[in-house]
Amino acid sequence: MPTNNTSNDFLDFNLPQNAYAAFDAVSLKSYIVERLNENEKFTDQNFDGSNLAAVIDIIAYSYHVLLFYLNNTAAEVNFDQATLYENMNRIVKLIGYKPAGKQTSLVPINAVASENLGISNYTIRKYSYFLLDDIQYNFIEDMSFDKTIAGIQSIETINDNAVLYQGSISEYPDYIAQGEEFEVLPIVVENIVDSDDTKFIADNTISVYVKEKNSGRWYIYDEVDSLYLAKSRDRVFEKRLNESGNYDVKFGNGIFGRRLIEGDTVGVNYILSDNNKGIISKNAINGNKLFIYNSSRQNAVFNDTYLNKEETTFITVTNSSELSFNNPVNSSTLTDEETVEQIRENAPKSFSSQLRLVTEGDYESLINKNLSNLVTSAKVVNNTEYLNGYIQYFYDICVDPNKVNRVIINQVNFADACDFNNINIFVVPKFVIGEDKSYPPFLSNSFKNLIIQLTGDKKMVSNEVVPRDPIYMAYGIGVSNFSETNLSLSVLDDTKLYVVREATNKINKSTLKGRVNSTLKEFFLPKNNQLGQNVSITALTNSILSLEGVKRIYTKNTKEGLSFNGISFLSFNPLYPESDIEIINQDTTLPFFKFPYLYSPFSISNRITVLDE
Amino acid sequence: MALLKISDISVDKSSDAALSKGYLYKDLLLPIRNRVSYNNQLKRNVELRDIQGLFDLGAVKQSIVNCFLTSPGQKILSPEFGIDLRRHLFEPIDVWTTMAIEDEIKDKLPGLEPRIQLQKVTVEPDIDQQEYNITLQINVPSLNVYGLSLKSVLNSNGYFIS
Repeated sequence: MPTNNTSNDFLDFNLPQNAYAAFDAVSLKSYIVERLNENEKFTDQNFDGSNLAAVIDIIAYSYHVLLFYLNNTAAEVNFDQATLYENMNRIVKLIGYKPAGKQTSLVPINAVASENLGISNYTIRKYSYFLLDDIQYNFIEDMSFDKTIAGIQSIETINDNAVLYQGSISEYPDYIAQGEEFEVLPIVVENIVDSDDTKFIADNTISVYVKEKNSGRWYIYDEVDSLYLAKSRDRVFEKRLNESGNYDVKFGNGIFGRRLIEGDTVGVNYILSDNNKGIISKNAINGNKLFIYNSSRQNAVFNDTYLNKEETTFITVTNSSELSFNNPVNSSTLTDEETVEQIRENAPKSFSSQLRLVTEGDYESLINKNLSNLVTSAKVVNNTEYLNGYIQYFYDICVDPNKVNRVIINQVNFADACDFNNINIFVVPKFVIGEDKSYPPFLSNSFKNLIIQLTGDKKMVSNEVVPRDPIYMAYGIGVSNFSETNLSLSVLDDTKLYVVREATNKINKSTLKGRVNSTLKEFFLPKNNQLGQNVSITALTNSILSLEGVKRIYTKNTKEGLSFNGISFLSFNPLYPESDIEIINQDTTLPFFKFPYLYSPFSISNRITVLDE
Repeated sequence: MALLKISDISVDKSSDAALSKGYLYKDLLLPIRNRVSYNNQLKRNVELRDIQGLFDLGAVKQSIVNCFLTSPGQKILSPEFGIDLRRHLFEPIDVWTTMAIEDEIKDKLPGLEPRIQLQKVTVEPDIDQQEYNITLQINVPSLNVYGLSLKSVLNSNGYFIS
């Protein structure tokens, strides 16, 4: 930052706090020259050809470079200025924040038991898995269910709770403990990578077992958010993705969590995700055999830790054929590790919540951080807002909410008789519209239960977490003079968006049409939208008008002969298109339970016409 | 912040007196060496707490040398400074290169060294020695020096004023 201010504080060395910013090479050189001019010992500093000028240049430039790095280094230690992952990771460690790692693909699963499976209680063991052409999907917890009738039975416990994690089960080599306080075991496997083919440790899949030297038995160690909340004998560990992109497993010191004793053997298991290669489509797991994970260490762990194994009926290779499985939805996409910007956004929220879920924001940030591979948008409301907003919506459109499928399903599955303490979480899953006029999916029950599990140990005891489904609002190009009561979906067939090309621009009409089409689709992509967001038609109009060659746009209903200068949409609830339908041609804020999507993304280009000026 | 005065670290008075000779142009001699003053009583040089300098005509001559040996862009904070005669050393010694060197000096030197008035430039190639003999005739009005002839040599070892 060169400056011409030469009076002065700098020359008197009476420096203000931000003086370092003024010491760039050019201003440093001018300060040195001025100082030498005042001194009169030398004169040739004023001539560029002199030796003195060369020396001054070297000094000024060297200081410039040094101050640049000093400035950078100073910035990198500040939470609000750090730009490198390593630095940000270390900074937030001070407040106990644990950055999220890369998450693997998840899929819910349905199971049907044949009549040959007797009435009993069964358990599918942890790490049982399906194989689909080398792609492996695993149970990462034991899953117990009851077969209650003699005939064929759909196993609701599995249907509503089971979530499979993609990847191969990996065992980290045994680690012999040193017996230090807060002993840390780094799990060094490359896991922060951008390549589609590289495997990585899936976040939230690490299990830790310790074979304690004194007893010679394996014990399960549970993950905790903070060791400082644990008691002295608790068998717990803390896991953190460190600045190098490796997971650190940290044990207690004997005061906060059990301290490892020298000679204890630590076994760590994790799921090594196959990255994007592991994503599967709906019904890919269909009739696939269930395999049981078998390794000497895991068998030893099982024998030492499973208490009533003699009384438990396990699903084994022999009886697994009596269960048929299938995945009712596509597997979820992967989620990258938290970026520096995401950490900057999430860490203060996490810190303010102090591992407790109190405010709506606490719930939303927890879900967005931990289930970002499942959830596009989440909105949390209390029961009053739920009644005054969501339930009132159905009354407003003359629909009895007690007869609405999605309201009943969630109420029955997740809520109890007492509703005032409900924490209603409206969740939009990750989705892609596969064909025109298709309706977006809702989050599966298994994933909803995952949300309940996630919040279980952090929410207030008296609160009841109830996942809810959003109202999807379809948007199509439409303009009409009819009142809302007379509006119908036929407006969509009668309306087109006209794009007027500038007379002086020779851009190909089909290219221009393609760009407008892409802009519209991009605007309505789920990742660019939120529940209860402001649908900014102004921003969309500006995006289209800023395309090269676009002079103006207008929406015209050819049947009614009506034209609107700009872009106009018909917005409607596809489940109740007669009751909830309106023309939208200005910025609109949706209620917290509504989520927008493009009604016919694949044929929208047919509704766009490019004209000459 | 503590107040730091440069005057606090100046040379002592005896050294200062030895240095004050009323020169108009005072530059730094490179490489840096300590200055000495001849002590008549002890009949030997006494090292002063200061560095050796170049003064008046010596400073101007050094500046001309620097102009010839600096390539444009080399001096980071004055990127247009320099004539760079060295690049001609890799060209054949002929009349065209000679004229090019002469033209460059005439064009650029007065702008780079404002203390001089360039009267005449003569460049003579010496093919046998693989060098150019350059003679500059200059005035330095501020020093009241007129018609000063500077004979110099440009060869693969650099540029030297004799």
